[in-house]
Amino acid sequence: MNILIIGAGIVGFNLADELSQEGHDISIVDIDAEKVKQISEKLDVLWVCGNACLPSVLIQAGIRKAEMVIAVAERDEVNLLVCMLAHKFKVKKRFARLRHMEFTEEDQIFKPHELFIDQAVNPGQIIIEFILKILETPGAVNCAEFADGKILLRGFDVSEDAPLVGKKIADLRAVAEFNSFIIVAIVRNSNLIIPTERDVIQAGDKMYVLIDKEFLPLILPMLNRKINEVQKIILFGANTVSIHLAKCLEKKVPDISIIEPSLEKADHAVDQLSQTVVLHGDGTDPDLFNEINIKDADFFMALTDDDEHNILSALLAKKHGAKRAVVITNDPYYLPILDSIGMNITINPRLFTVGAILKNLRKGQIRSVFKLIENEVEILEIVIAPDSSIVGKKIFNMSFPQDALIGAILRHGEMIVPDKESTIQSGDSVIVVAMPQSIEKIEKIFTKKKLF
Amino acid sequence: MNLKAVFNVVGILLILLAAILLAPIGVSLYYQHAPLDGYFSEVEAFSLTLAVALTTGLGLWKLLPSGVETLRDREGFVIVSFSWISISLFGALPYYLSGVCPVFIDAYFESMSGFTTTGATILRDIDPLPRGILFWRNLTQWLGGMGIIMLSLAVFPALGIGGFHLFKAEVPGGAAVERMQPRLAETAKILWKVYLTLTCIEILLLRFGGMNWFDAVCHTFSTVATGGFSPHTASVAAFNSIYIESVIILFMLLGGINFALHYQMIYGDFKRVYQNPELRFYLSLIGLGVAFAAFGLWWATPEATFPSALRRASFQVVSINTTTGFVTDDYDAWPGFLRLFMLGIMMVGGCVGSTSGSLKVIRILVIFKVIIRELQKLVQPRGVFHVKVGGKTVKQEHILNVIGLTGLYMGVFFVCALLLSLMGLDLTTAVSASTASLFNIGPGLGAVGALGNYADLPHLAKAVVIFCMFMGRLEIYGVMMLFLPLTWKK
Repeated sequence: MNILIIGAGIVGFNLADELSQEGHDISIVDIDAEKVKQISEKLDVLWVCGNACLPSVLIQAGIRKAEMVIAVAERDEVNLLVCMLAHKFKVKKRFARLRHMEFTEEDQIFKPHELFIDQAVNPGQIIIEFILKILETPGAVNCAEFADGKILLRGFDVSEDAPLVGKKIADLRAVAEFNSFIIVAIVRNSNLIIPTERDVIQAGDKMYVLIDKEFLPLILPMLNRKINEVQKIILFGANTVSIHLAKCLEKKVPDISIIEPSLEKADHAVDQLSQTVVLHGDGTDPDLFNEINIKDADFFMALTDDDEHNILSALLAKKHGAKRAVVITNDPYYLPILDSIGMNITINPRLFTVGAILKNLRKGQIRSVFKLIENEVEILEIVIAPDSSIVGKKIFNMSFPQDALIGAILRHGEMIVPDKESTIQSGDSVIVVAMPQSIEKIEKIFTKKKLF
Repeated sequence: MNLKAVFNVVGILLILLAAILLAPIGVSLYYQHAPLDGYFSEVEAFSLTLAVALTTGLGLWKLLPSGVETLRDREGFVIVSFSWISISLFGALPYYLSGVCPVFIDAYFESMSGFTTTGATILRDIDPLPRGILFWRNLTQWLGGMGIIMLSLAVFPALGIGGFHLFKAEVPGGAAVERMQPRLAETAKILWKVYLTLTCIEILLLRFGGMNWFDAVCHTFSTVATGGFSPHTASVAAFNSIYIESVIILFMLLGGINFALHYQMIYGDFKRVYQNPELRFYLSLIGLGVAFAAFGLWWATPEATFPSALRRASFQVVSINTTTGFVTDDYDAWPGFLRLFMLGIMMVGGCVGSTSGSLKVIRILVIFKVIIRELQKLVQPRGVFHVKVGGKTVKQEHILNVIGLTGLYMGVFFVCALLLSLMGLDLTTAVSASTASLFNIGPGLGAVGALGNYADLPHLAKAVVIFCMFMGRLEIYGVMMLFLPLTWKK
């Protein structure tokens, strides 16, 4: 497929990289010569340096042949205009990143398709939804959804007082109510384990669980968590994301504060919020931390646009007693160190955007791919084709790689936790957890056609 | 200061006044009242006034160059102040010439009280007075309610160019009132249409309740303008009808609501009206006030039944709170705490953009919220807190304006009360006369109470009261500006 990407920032770059590897032909346009040069050195794509709002530039980038346009330029205006022009050029699929909340809010004036956009992706919205999901299951550090939100993936920190500690996976299977979920991965001392029956859950583990949406409340007691345990949240930075997040949280959490160093931005935040207390000060000021009693804070969320500032303030906040920290970093290079310095939850808006766009792009057998940051484990959602060779086979009989497992089967809208006797039927979706080295093997198993 | 342009506009307004004077002439011709001994007949008095106003107006308009385009805020304020002074002056002539008020200061008092919709009177016995004069008395309130400048903006669209400066200076609440149409003249027309609609409905409702046409029209004029003049000495008590009292209560309340809201209501935008924070605060304040006064009356006077206490309390609280000043019951005879309460609610008033006077509830709401913010600041010194009304932040400069104005009101109130006591008025009378005139209510307590009037005040005291009414209507700042040397600098 010919795909035209507008904007060669981190999002444009990663999309181009990913899609190019998947076998698509990519053209990329950016107005910044420097960025285009980087792309030209690293990726095998067609690149054009110019203003994407000009039809001539788009033609130069091959829009006439393009089947899809992904507009991820810095400014919303450019992305809107590009999609409109793409519509004129009769491009079938048009994606756009729109940062302004007005375009994606519930009571939007124009729906995206009225603005010639098939799918609008708003990074801020995605971040907010992510944080809200995390808060929905206190103790969660990561989350993803499969099968249109039917099956949830949640990462949890296992605390010492959790009833699960010291239990074997096999023991858990024996208890009926535990049958609604499956532990698909455990991170212990920065090593990732795909658990077998004999593994034991330990305190300090981070475990990834696949669970049916309806059974989500069941899992919290096992981790010694309560639904409404989050009482106090401190946000650092008053920008669109934090203001909207605070607005969403005002109804749910009794005590929300925003710390903002710029008085002008603080004033702007106060204008839009009603219950939230906005404080004028720096997110690295110990006196201020003391004043707002950060010891009691269940969450400290560093949401400014400045990566280093976010990381430092979150470190300090944890030092001063904040229970958990959420950090936004735009630069993906920081991601590997954040977990080891105690940042519980890290959010990378660019990668989130890439993920969201890719998720919407994929319509083949592999429906979605979710990458865990640690060791790059991938979780795939695969739709079983009727003519697949594994239809009717028992899982027990399949020659599955050691470092991969079938996490769940989705059949007729219901999640089934597979055991040895489970069979795979045509029309099922399976969620597979796999280390990168075995992914190729897995793809082969699921896509192999029947011989007769 | 472009004084020539100022007087040019004043001239236009006087011509407008001359045109309006045709109405009382018509009424006088219809009723044909005999002239008082040694004075002009009504028709002659009005015609003479008309002639004088027209000549002066034409002279100012034709002889002085127009400069409406070059008007600035300061000229706006000066024009409004001068117009109100001169229109009250010409409006006083009929009272004086016809002999209803043989002393000129009394005539000027009555005229100023009318145009500023105060409703204070120096007339002892109103019922036997000629009908034309009584009609004029109430017509001045009706004109003053929506504002003479507003009328002129609607009639002479040419004024619209520099008109916003005038608009700001005249409308209660000034710049806070939203412009409903791109053109000021259209806004003024809409406001007058709403005003006319309310007026017509009330006239019909009162007529239906048994009033004659004359009473219905006169009472309507002073109700929707929240003025309070009545062509009867006993005021609304003369009718002793629950129906009439209810209609008047309703229209006093409506007169105290921002006319922009009436306009929205006519166009079915109920949601915005319902969500208007000032309206909600206004209605709840009045509701609480009525409840307090009703229970207070019932509790303090053993012989009163609750329904009668409620009837008297609701009329009187609404009348005083909306700065109308109609009377159905001598609230001066109420127990002490209720008399004090009535004095208190005189300082509340209605909404901005309404016909009511006084401080206006939005300002009280803002001050209330400023206090809350100061308390929050004490608890959380580094917190950023805004004063919000209806979810919207009130700008710092508006807050300062509100606090400044409130302080100014209090200061002027105190100084005037002091001056009045210096002239020999007792404490209750001095304080309440100062309040009732500065906040444009009309009747006060003591000698100027519900059943009393301002006739026995010394002339100098009357002058003080006149000045209070004038300042209250134009919300002090505009009048105070006249005394600022900076205003007059070239």
